[in-house]
Amino acid sequence: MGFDDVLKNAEENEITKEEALYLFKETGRYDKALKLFEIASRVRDDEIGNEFKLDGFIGLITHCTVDPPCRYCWNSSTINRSGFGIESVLAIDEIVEGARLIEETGISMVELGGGTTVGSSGEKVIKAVKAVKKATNLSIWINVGPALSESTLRELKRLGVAEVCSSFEVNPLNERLFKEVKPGDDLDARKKLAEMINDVGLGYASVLMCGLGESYENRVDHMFYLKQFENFKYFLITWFHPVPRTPMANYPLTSPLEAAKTAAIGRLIFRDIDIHISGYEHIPLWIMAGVNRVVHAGASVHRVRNGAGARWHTIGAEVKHINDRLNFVNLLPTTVKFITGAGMEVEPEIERRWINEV
Amino acid sequence: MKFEELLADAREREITRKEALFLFEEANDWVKISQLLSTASYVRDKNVGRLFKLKAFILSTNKGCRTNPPCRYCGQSSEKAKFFTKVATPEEVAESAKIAEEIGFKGVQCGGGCSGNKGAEAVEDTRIVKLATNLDVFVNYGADMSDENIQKLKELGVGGIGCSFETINEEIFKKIKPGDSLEERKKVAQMIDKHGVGLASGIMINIGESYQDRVDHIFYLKNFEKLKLIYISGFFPIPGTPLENHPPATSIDIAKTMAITRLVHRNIDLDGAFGRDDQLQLWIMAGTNHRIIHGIFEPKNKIFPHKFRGEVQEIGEDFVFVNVLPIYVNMIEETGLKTDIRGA
Repeated sequence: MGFDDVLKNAEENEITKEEALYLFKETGRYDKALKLFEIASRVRDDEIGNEFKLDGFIGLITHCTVDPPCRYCWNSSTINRSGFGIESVLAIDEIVEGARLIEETGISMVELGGGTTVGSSGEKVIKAVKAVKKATNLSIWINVGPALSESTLRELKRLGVAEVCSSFEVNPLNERLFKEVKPGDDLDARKKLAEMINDVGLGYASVLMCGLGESYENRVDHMFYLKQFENFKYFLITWFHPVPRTPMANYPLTSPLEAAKTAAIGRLIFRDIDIHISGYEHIPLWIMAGVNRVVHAGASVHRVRNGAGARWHTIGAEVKHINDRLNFVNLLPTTVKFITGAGMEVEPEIERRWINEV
Repeated sequence: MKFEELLADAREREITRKEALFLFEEANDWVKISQLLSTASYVRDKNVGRLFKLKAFILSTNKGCRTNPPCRYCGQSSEKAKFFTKVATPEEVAESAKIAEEIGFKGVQCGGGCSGNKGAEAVEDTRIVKLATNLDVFVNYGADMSDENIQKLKELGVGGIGCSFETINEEIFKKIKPGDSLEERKKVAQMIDKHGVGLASGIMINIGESYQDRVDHIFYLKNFEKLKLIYISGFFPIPGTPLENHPPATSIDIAKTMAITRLVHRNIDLDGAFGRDDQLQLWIMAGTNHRIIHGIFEPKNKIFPHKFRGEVQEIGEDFVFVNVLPIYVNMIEETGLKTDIRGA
């Protein structure tokens, strides 16, 4: 197996598990990374075109009760400013106002996101979806963890929800690692949720977090596990950033190149689905790696963050205080420029409203 | 002129002004950007090798910046984000240098703002570091430097002196640096060059300049015989400054500018600028070979918002050493280059 041969074949054909692992191991130099990215971008352009999607975000719509919390998450920090507590959950009128503001930007898809309220069947989620659907024409995807019943999923499907997420973060086949980094979480519940989402015919979304201690084999197994779902539509990649005063505070930061490599190899496996990497500052690199959709790079509505560093998350953004506790953060003036500068297009309505502004 | 043919030529020879402008204008999609970066990396590998140099930015006795009015993009022009909040004592400067030497650095940068002391702090800092360690010293205190102090720095064995223009478009310079003088900066850079000391100089992008301005700037730097380092900084809006609503430079525009600079300046060190070091791997793909690690020594009150975290060691009452070196080493080695913290 030669690097160039694998990539040449990948231009036309989905890669195998062995080839995916080979590419992870062989892409250890910048020149090989650039070759991998070139093919991944070509596959993206051929399979789904040159339009980059920007999701809006409204959250939280539910709070997290996972106990103990995931070891990498703000919820396990001893700094008392958790982002996933009940105090961060928005009221329905706040969600509606946020949705209207997001729709005004030209964004067409919004994530309604929240924490896992263990044992919940998802009533709050249904209420939020109904409210947003009534007030706007936005498409919706849901990310609240395994706190949704099958009947809720059917109702979400009936309401026109596009995608629902069941994330594993780490390889679902590596139970030991899952328990290690997510000791209070329920792997089986997440697997079951993934199956239910797929079976009711909703689009399935799932997150892989790079850098939690997994091997390249784990990442490949993870991606091929997700591939079994015929309705798998949205692959989200995040990369570990140590959060102060968590059990993983001293664990090494993952590099953007690792995330980009993972997306590029994911593109050669999944071909025509949407692929995201978190971190709007790096969008041009993500574009080079075959990514076509990013959340938290459009417009977001969430509780005012008071923590150190919050200021830097909004560099280049328009920030509007909806009320004392609620922020509307619009990154489009910046991110549209990032995207078009790397040679991709944005959705027509975003282009119409922002392209002359940048 | 054909893009791919030009890049093929650029692997073997320096590009012209006209070609540099063509590359800026043409490299506007991911395919061409990727080809441009590959070429720049090839030229880096061929001319300066596959070693990536790291240096530590240590503490300084610099009294801060007195440019008045302050540069409109700088934290000094904001009430919320002033850069210069603490002045290190000579003992603290010496301690930071010793720590840098202990963890393996061979080179350090001492730097600060234009305090109006004409480089006196640069001389003082260099003396302190040279007395306490065997480190190579590079200094960067803006254009605030006298001929006499350049001579003193030369005698102290300083490896390089920074003098950045940010832009050589006079109109833009005046607009963003109303309290500063481009002419003065050019004179200081010429003095540094005349003394035969290595010159380091920066180009800031996305401050309203055209591609032609960037090309002119890149080629203007060819006038300096002792040019040793160019650093490319992307404008970054700092809250509370007059330019807080100006959009930030994009990472790809920074990378393109680095790559084109590498195709012109083939044998010198090429670097980015502080605040965006999480893009280091993209910079490496764009032909850079050098990074000065800011934020490795910091005032205590500044460390928390950093994206990069590491083991913390206190220096006096006001400063800390944050060992972020492993993060840099990891990022460099993931691109296939070797880290060099011992080189000049």
